[in-house]
Amino acid sequence: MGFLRTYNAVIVLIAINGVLAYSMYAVLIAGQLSLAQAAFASIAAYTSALLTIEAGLPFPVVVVIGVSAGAVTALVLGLPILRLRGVFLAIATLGFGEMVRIVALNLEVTGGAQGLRPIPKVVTIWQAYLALALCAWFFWRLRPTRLGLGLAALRADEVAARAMGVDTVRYKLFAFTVSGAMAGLSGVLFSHFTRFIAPGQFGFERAVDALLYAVVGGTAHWVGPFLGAGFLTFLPELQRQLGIEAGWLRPFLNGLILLGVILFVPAGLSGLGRRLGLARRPRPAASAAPARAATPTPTPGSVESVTEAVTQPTDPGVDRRPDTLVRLVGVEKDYGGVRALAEVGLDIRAGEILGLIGPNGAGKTTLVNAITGLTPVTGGSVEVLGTPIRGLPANRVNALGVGRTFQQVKLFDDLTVRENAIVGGHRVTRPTFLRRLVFLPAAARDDRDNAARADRVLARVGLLDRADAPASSLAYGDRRRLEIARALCGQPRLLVLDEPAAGMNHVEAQRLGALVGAIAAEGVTVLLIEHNVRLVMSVCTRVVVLDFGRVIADGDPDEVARHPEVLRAYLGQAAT
Amino acid sequence: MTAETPLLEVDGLHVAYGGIEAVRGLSLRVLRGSLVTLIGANGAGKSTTLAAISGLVRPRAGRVLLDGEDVTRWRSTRRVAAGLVQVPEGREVLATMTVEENLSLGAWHQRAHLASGLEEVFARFPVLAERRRLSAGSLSGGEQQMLAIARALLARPRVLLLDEPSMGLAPLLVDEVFKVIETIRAEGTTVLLVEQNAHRALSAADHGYVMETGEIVLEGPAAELLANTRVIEAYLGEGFDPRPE
Repeated sequence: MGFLRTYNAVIVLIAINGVLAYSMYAVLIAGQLSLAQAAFASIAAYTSALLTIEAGLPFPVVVVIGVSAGAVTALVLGLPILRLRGVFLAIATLGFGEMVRIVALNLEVTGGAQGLRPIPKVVTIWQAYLALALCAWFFWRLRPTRLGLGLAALRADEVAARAMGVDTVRYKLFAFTVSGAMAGLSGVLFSHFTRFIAPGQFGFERAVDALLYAVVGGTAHWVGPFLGAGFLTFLPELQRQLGIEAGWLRPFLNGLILLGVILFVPAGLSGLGRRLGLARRPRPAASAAPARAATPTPTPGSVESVTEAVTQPTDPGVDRRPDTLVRLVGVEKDYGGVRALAEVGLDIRAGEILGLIGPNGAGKTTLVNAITGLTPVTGGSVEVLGTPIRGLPANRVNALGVGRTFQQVKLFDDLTVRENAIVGGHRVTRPTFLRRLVFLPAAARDDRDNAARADRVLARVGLLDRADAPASSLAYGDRRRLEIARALCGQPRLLVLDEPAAGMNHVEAQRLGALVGAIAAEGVTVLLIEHNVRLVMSVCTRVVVLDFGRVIADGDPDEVARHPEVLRAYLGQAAT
Repeated sequence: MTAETPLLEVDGLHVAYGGIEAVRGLSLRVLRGSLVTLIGANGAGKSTTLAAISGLVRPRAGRVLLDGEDVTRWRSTRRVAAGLVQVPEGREVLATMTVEENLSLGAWHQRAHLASGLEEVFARFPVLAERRRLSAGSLSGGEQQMLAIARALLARPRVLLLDEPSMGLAPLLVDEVFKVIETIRAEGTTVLLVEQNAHRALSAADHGYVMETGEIVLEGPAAELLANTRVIEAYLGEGFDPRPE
């Protein structure tokens, strides 16, 4: 216990900084760069200190109020600024931090530059580590859940995450609010441990410290923030022991360490552990599906997985099963003077495999984006499954039962193949995080079921043997197959495939055609955009041709293949 | 083959990502002035092979020889300067830069030939001349592919490496791209072509290599491969009519 007494201050500060690092981690895992953590901590620190000094409230009450203050501030700030991305969000949050510092500096109640003192020192080593453990526990439980994977998807590719049904706006707000709460917790602990707070302690440097802890610790694993905070908090103590503690040395060394980490261990200290094979954890048991399905003939499991979509209504509006899944009337889309779509009228009927072909730049992808809610149209109306989708965000369109792939592959690269597929099932799965937080076995079962369903679909497209590999490691055509699997996991009623056969040879494309046929046979309507004419003509029940944003032909495949306009604008000699 | 030195030779190439060997002991030869194609399924290692040839990945073992000179340890920029130029998969044009800026980057090592080179490619691709001041990202897929090829031509390649130039293109444009490739070759540039459209690639090529799981499993004159039952089954598809068009 002698060690604990000698180094008590450093050990407690490691926990307090660790909590701040977790608050940074909360936004980083959602792909948001915020520098407002010090400001949230400062607001909570002042609020709690004043409540203790002036009102004499008991410490647990003060903690709750301080944490709430951080969370509410983050929520209110997040509502307007979370639409900003990347460096713009960082600058906005930095501005907020500066505002808070200036206010604290000039208010009377905060003691201005003199700061507040004395605040009773009530935080014990055990309380500090309890707080740290609570934060770690939160993130430990978070990752494998629907919420955790949704956040990881948001970080990897926001557009694709939305198209998979992840409500990215709410997810970002959630991350931001959690971050505010944890920063608040660290602020309360700090003020009630050091006995003194002043605006300077929560300035720009503190904000950067929080980022340093999180980055040096790494965001690859939930122990990262603790490692980063521990290392960087202990370092000055070490320097003191070694007698090298000139004023400039600490920031200089911090900078040097950050450079070193970014250059040599970009995944941070926690990533170092993984590299050495320490953090390898067992994967959720895969289902008993067969290894690699060489041909995508439907297995019993896969039939069940897709027919669920038809028999299980997800929305009262969907229950009616209209004959027309998509109705476009006079749809127009202008991109600053360039007319991508002109008066497009098109119905997609239940049960058909509709091929959409046309020259590059004819407006096919624009049409798909209009149907899936990624691009608002400038004229006309788009109705999907009976719901007009004007202004409806992509995740709501997905919830109606629309799954899609992208022409430029948009996978969640740092997630595994299986995790990509699980995120695709977002629409048809239940949240598991809160239940997992308290170790309810039902949540683990749900997560296992989701993984098993993902595995069945992966087996179907022939990717099961790569389930644990990062999605970024797949070859081009396999990436396309994974996109299809991901969309299928959402059990869509309408599946939109944007050039799925690009990068596949004819034999692979034929297999893909068989897969598309099998999917349609289970009652899923398919919209297929493709340049592989052989594929389109062999699987589609109807073909529509776009040229310069207009429909120039619409009919059964043979008719369209002979249409003189189509031969001129699109097929050329390759049709023969 | 004769004793002639191939312009490009790959000898016993091994490339691994982490623990996984993507290319396992691959050797191939591209004779001066010929058009050679490398076909194979997805994930067979074709793109990795091209990346090793152009110096974008470091092989674990094996050699790459350009005109008899060992370039295995050269950086990719030096290989480009020496005439080993790649058109990347998925076009990879610099979307926010103009067409002309993209093209001048192609002439990075050929500053002296920039003006004449631009003139040449604008004559070859009139559509690029029309759009020279537009951002490359605003071009359609076919135009972007033409731009990617034109950019490579400005580097004055001795060997042009093409990675799936027909991907994602409308049939008419596929015809056009192959016409361009055949013209480039007819003008004396040696071409190594990686393609999924095995039929088109073999129809255009002199010699072909078939790759499976990191190894060459078959090679020969393109016309023979086109008639080979194994190739037809694996890459050309059922009901494929092997007669020439």
